[in-house]
Amino acid sequence: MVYRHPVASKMIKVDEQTHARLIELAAENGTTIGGYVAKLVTAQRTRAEWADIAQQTSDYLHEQFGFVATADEQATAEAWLTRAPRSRSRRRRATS
Amino acid sequence: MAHPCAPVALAPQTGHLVTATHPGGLVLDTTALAALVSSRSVSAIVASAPNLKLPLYAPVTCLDAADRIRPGIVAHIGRLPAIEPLELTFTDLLRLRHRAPHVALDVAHVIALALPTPTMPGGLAVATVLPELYADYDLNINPIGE
Repeated sequence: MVYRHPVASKMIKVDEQTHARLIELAAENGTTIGGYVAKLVTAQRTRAEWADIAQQTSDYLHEQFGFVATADEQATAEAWLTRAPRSRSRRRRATS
Repeated sequence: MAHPCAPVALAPQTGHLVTATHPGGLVLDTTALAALVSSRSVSAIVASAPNLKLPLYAPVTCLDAADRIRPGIVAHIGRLPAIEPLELTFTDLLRLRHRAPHVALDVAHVIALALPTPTMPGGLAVATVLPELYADYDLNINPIGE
């Protein structure tokens, strides 16, 4: 890839153990250390991004379906989402 | 499928994820996705998940199957940033053909995503209206409506 304009970059400091691990993980993922770090950080969302997602999702459900969760529905949904342990699905098979 | 409302660039090439990245995330299967419009429980789950920083994953095979049940639902789901479409990768295909060769593609895709992997040792939990679809597989199941 040829860039027409300089691409801004920043340096970060890590300890030797982290650096060695980054080299290995980046190689296993077929990328550079910078590419691997970028992959890691784009896989996570900030609090502000989560808040935007929550707002956009609620707005869309309201606009398209007239859905607004009641306090009870929200509490039930949050309890459902966080309940643990979740059930395992495999049936117990009879042994002969 | 593009993700027009998503405020986060998840994958620059396609706009959506190739692999799930959050071990606490939930896979929404075909039955859960198809119930989105008709079930207040499913809508509440979708609305509440971002408040808990939990991603909801929608395998593209399930999106296709859900849209056959509820035509048009896939376009709505594509505009809900709380739900992240997951592509069917070649690795997924190998896993589903190996682990669930005789079940429908969408169900097999969910099974392939939910089984433990080296990077996701606990596997992903499955949100479904019909938990019996996965009765023969050792998966974490979250039945909707319980």
